[in-house]
Amino acid sequence: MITIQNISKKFKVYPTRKDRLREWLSFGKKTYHQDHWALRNVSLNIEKGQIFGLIGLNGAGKSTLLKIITGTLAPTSGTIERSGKIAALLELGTGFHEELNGRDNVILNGKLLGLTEEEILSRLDSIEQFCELGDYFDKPVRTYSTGMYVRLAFALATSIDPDVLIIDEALSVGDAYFQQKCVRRMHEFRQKGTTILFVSHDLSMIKLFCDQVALMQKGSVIATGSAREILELYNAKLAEHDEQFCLGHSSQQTSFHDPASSGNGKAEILSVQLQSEDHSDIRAIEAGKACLLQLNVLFHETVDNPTIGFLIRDRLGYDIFGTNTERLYRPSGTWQKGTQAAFSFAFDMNLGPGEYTLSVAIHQDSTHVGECYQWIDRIFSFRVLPRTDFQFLGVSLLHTTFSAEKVPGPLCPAASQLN
Amino acid sequence: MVIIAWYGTFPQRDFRMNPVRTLVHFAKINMESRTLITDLIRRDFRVRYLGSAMGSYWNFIHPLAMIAIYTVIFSYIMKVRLGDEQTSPLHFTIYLCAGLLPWTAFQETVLRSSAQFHEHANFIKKIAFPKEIIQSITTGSTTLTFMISMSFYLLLLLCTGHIPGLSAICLPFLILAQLLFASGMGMILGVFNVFLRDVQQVLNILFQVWFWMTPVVYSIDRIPPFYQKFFLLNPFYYFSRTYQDILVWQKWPDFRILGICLILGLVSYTVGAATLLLFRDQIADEL
Repeated sequence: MITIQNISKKFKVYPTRKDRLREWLSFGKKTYHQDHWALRNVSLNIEKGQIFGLIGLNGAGKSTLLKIITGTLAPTSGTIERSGKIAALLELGTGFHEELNGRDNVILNGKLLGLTEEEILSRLDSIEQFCELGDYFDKPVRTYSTGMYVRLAFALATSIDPDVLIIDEALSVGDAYFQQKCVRRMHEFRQKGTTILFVSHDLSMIKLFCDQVALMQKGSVIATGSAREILELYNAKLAEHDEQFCLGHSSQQTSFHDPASSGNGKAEILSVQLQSEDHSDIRAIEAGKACLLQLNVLFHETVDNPTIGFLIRDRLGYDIFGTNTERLYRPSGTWQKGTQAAFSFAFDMNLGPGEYTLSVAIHQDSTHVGECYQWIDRIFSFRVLPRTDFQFLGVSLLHTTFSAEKVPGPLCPAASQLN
Repeated sequence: MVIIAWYGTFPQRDFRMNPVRTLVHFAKINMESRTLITDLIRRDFRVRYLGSAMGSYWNFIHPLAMIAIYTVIFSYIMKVRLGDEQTSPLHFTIYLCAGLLPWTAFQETVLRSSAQFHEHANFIKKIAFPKEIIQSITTGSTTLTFMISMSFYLLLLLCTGHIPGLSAICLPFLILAQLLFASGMGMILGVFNVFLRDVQQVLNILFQVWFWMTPVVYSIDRIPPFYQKFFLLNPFYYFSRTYQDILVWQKWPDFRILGICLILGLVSYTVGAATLLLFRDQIADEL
């Protein structure tokens, strides 16, 4: 469907506008620009009917690659073959004119998508229904909220029955109801055999949908494979990139000035790591999987039985789970000045899919309100990914079994009377 | 947000310097996208004065106001007369419009064209929008205004009994030549302006000078014969003169001059199209 071979993309970067003029006036004798390679030798093969995910940190070249696939940008070298109608939900706003109403914008943009007048008019009703804008469908687009914009755009892009649909982060806008509608429509597309190219930071979406995933880093595709394999690799890369939290050795000054950190400095948290069962650093974990939270602490003073705790919050900042050694009734022992200790909490990540933040603290007694050695808020965030074997809603994972059996005995008289 | 796909395959680099293939390529893309072009022209026309109370009437008011201003200043205040002193101010208006209306259309086309890639940056950056049709949208939009003002002018000619003769059949060719000439310049300058935004500013000044160098408000007869030949270096002189021959003097234009106009148009368009093709793939990178 889409075959990309050895695509590279170079941008010329001029320090200032004048440098371009200087370069022109020198007639090629001097160069004032620097070459920036956004993509280097990228090859990908996307099969028909596949849902293909593209992940990578910001600046990895995902957007540039998408633009080359849609034909917005031309590659510096390499070839790309594509067949069929491609529709892309890229950034907000393209093609919609603020002053025109939703209906007129749909008609004009339908033509930009390559539909004929009749085709677009025949789809107009279903688009109007899908986006559920009500009266707003006939009001100027400038009066729309962002969510309404997205609804209109998504309704249009998906109504054209593309052979290839490109989705770039667009689904993260809009309310939950509409997001679910979009997800349902994506399932429809999948059943119809539409090829979908999906770019997202939402790893759980990637995991749910994608048959194949490519991981990009610094302009190259470093791995392609199943969603599971690639997400594991991505995890490792994320953890590497995050530079595991480290305050630097014995630099009390910096730790006191760190706004997210507070405390009197008698004990210093040197590093915090979230690890999977096999002790590799991770930033994402499948719901229900066992994990290990490891804190390395340096004691600047002798401390008797410090309390070590952690707190997990969701993306809205609500406390999801937190505990400490005091509450666990696990004394941590006495630590002499100058010693370094490793404390570990092992637990199963029985949380629903989503993004969470982690805070840690070391203090005296049961809360950090008393004498606090160090408290670090939101050291890093991590993701809980949906399970592949079963699915569930909500923020907590309750282990559930199900059974059904036939109960012997006569029908209850009340029920038989009703019949 | 949405969009995209252009089905057409991208032309390969090899024919960019072949004028015939360049023109065929442009003709093909513009034909394929003709409904899109007309829609975008219509949108441009509708949107331009959207939000103002008079709406699209402004498209008529502007040319009328311009004609009135020039007539009052030159004909009544400065008492400029054509030929012998007996002619009426109305004759001056007729002379003035024959050159001024095409000039205004030409200037507006080129000036708007120089900014056209920025104007359509949204499309260019986000969807696979064929850059070859952008000039047609700009030219189409300004030509629509031109046609409106020309129809007022023809109405004026009919009312004053100054009815153009058979030579008016040359007009369509002349207008076509002018559109090609303006479009070609527009494409060249538009492309340069993508890389160097100063182009637009320079043009604003240049066109002021160019306007007064062209015998539109005044007649070339008032220029000392020695300087008259320098007007031949001004490409727009060939156009304004032919318009005046047909519409004011009601005679057959000099066909050599009409031929020059057509050649100017064709050459300009071809060079413009080739320039656009040459830089086409870099435009999206720069915007």
